[in-house]
Amino acid sequence: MMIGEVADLLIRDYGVYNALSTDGGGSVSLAMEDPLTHVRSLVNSQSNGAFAREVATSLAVFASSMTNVTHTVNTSPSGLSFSVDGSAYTSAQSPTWSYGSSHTIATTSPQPGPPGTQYSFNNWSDTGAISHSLSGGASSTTYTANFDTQYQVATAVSPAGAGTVTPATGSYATAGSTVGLQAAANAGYSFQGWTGPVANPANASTTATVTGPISVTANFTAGPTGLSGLITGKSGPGNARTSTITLTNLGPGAANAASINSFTLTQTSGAACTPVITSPLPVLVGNIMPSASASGSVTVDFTGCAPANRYTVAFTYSANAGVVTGSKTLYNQFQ
Amino acid sequence: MRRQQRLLLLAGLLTPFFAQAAAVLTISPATRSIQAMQGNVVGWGFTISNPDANFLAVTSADFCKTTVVAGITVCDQFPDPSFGIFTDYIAQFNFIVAGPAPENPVVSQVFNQALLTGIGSFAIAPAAPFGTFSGQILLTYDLYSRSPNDPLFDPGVDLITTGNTLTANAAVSAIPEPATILLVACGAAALVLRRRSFAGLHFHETAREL
Repeated sequence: MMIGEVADLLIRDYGVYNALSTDGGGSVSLAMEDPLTHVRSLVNSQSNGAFAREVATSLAVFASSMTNVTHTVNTSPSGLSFSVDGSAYTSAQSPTWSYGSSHTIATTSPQPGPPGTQYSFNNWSDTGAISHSLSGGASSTTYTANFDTQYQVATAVSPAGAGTVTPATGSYATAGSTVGLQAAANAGYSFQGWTGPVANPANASTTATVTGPISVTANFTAGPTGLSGLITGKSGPGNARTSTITLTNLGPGAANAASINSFTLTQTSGAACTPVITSPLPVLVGNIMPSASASGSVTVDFTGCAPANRYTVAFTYSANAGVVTGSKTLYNQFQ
Repeated sequence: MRRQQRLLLLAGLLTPFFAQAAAVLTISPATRSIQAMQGNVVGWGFTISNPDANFLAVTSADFCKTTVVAGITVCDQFPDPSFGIFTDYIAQFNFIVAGPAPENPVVSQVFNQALLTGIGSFAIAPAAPFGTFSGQILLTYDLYSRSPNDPLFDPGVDLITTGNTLTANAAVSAIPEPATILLVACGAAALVLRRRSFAGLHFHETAREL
């Protein structure tokens, strides 16, 4: 290529408006400095090898380094927290970095959102790790931390203690995903059905599509059972004499919300007196698993009654919303 | 050394027996099983032995199939009312205390429906299905350190335990009336005779044809 042709090329294709032509021979040496490493080296081959001319004429060209390049760091969805070089932000940032300088961008996961919502880190747009270093580039770059939206899956059991549900309440699932639900009855109960947005409410093993925070409840019913009652202890002074009534579940079903419903004393000997039952009835005993027992207390004020007075005590009890009932009468009872 | 170990082992084996050698309930009749016709009222007598220094006061009696649940002996199944109904005599109509003097460690009663004595009665339903209900008499009692009949008795101080139980096997069978048995026997005999006469007639007819 002739010098004239080179000039045309530089002017036409590269916008050069001022150029200097050396002699074009093999005596010209061109050395350049690497802007990153600052190492200078010869970049052309002289016609006479590595031997420079004894008398040299130098022309040095200096260019300012590439600084003040503005980048963008943000999150998707916006408003989530991230950090740039250790400083925390929750809105898009536009740092200005010099070319080649080192920086660290980072975020955390998961991050809370509105009630029942959280955001789980997926990736950085430059494919870096959740916390990673980068080198300031020569051109403006946007670094975006991408998050997946997740919704809470609240699970519950009714009545309490009747069974278990997986997953446990409070877990999160990615928006749009399908979560598997499994209900298992405890001894004495059987699965009744689901309430909530599930695919098959009648099946203990079902699914739910997570399009928002969801709440599902596994309902159980107690199996057939029987209850037996007995006074198994007495304590306290005469004006607050407490009888401990033990209810025993004969199984095989559970006795849910068992309670002592009535408690009466009929005096059968001694000077007449009026014992006062001070415990509010019914007395809730609670859930009783098969082959287990639980107790409740009934307190009576025997003020004005002789210690040797005898009574007939009768009490009734029930469970499973009245499906299971029973009674017991004990004679020759003292205060 | 070996002898000491053997003695310790023997003591260990015997301890539960001694610890449980408290009150005992036996019922009469000795067979513990009562047979009666539909509509009859039957019952059991009892003997309660309480060799301990404490005083036992009976608080209830039931006739049922018992089971032990959570360490408590309870009635698991009662006779169907269509078969019969049990009535507590020992606690409902009596005040039985067994223990050391001035009480008696052994208390007995025979069953008497008129006097309301004994463990209790079982009224077999008039239309009870023939059969047997086998179960236990389940007695509940309280233990006191002083006799409830003692003028100084104070349940707030003297009560040791309440809701204790004793059991004894018992059974009731509903059987047909003798007249019914006789009627059934006559019917069976008549059936046999008729078959025999029919066979004889058939033989004679066959012989005549020949």
